[in-house]
Amino acid sequence: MHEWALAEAVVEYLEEKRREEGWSNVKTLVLGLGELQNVDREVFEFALKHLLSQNEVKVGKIILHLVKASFKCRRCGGSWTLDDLNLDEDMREAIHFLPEAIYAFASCPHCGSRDYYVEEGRGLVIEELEVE
Amino acid sequence: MRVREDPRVTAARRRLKEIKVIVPVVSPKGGVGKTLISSMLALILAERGLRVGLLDLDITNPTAHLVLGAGTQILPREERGVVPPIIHGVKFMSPAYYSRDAPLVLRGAGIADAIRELLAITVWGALDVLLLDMPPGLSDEMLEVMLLSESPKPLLVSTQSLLSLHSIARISKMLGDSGISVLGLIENMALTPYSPFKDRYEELGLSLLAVLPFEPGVEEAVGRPGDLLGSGIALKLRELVAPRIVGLA
Ligand SMILES: Nc1ncnc2c1ncn2[C@@H]1O[C@H](COP(=O)(O)OP(=O)(O)OP(=O)(O)O)[C@@H](O)[C@H]1O
Ligand SMILES: [Mg+2]
Ligand SMILES: [Zn+2]
Repeated sequence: MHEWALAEAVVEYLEEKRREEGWSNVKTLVLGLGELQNVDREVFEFALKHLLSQNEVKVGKIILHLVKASFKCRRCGGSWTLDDLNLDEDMREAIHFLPEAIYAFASCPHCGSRDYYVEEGRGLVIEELEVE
Repeated sequence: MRVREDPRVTAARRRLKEIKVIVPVVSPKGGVGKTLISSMLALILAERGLRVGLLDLDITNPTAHLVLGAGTQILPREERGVVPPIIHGVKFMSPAYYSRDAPLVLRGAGIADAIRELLAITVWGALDVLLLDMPPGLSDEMLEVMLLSESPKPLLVSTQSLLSLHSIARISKMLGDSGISVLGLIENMALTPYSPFKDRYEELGLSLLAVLPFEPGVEEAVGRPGDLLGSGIALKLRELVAPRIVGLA
C-alpha cells in the first residue's frame, strides 16, 4: 500500500529531525491528512505505529485529523469543496496517488477555469511536533 | 514547537540516494529531442544490463510513454509505495499514469508538489541510472531536482543554431554556479556531422559527446522500442554517450 510510503516518510522525517536537533523523544505528533489525497486512515495509522515500534524514535501521542479539501479560483475568486465536484472512482484513485491529477479532471465550478489552487487539505502534513 | 514541514522531502532524498547516477536530460529550447534521447538512452543502458529507471518530469506535457509505447491505462502497482512498471527493461514512471493524458495545467508550485509526491512514493529500489526527461528550460522542475538529489549529472541537448548556443551558455553557467557538473552535450538534428560550435563548447567547459543527424526514419520507430534500438541514432548513443554514463554508475 502507498499509505506505507507516506508513513515511512513521516518516520524518516522524525529520525532526521532528531539527529539534527538532538532531542530524544516525541511527546505529541499532530498530523493532518488532506481529504484530497484520501489516505486510508486505518492503514496509515497501522503502518505508522508499526514502523515506529521498530524505530528508535519513540512517539507518545499521535493525533491524526482529517483536513477538508477546499479550492479557490484565481480567475473568479470562487471557492468550493470536493463535494461540489463530480469525480468518478478512477479519478479519485489517480488523485489519491498524485493529488495534482485533480487539475486534469476538474475545473472551477463557477467559471470553468483550471487556474485554481488547493487552499487546504491537499495531502499529508506534519502540523505539530512536540519533543522532549 | 509548531512546525509545518514536508516529510516528502526526506523520503524523496532517501529514495534517490539508492541511485548511483541521476541524469536529467535538459535543453534550453523545446522540441530538440530530449524525450527521444532520454528514452533511447534508458533502453540502451538496460540492454547493457544496467538497472535503469526513466522518470518523465515534463509534468504538464509528458510524452516519454509515447516514445516507449507504454500504456498509461493501468496504474503502477502498490507495494509500500508505487512500483514503476517495467517497459523493455526500463523501470518507467510518469505523471501520465495519473493524469490519464488529459491536459494538466499547473503553476510552478503545483509542478514542484507533483514532483515531490512522485519522488516520495516511487519505489525504484537500487538503480544504476535514473534518467529524467525534463521539460525545456531551467525552472521549477530542475530546481526541484536540484533540491532533492545530491549530485545530478545533467546531459544537455542542443541544436546547431546560434540561439540554442547562447541558451546553452546560460544554462551551463547556471548549473556551474550551483556546483553541478554537466555530463556533456549532445547536438541533435544536426545539419553537418561536425559541430560549428566546437570551440565555443570548449570555452564553456562542455564536452561534446555526440552529434546526431536528423534521421527521417526515427519518427516511424517512435512507440516501438525494438525499432528505436535499431536506428542510426541508437548506434551513436550506444557508442558515444552510453559509455560515459556506465563509467559513472
Ligand atoms: N535526430 C532526430 N531525427 C529525426 N527526428 C528526431 C530526432 N530527434 C528528435 N526527433 C523527433 O523530433 C520530435 C521532438 O523530439 P522530442 O519530443 O524528443 O523533443 P523534446 O526536446 O523532448 O521536446 P519538448 O521540449 O517538447 O519536450 C519528435 O517527434 C522526435 O521523434
Ligand atoms: Mg520532451
Ligand atoms: Zn472560477
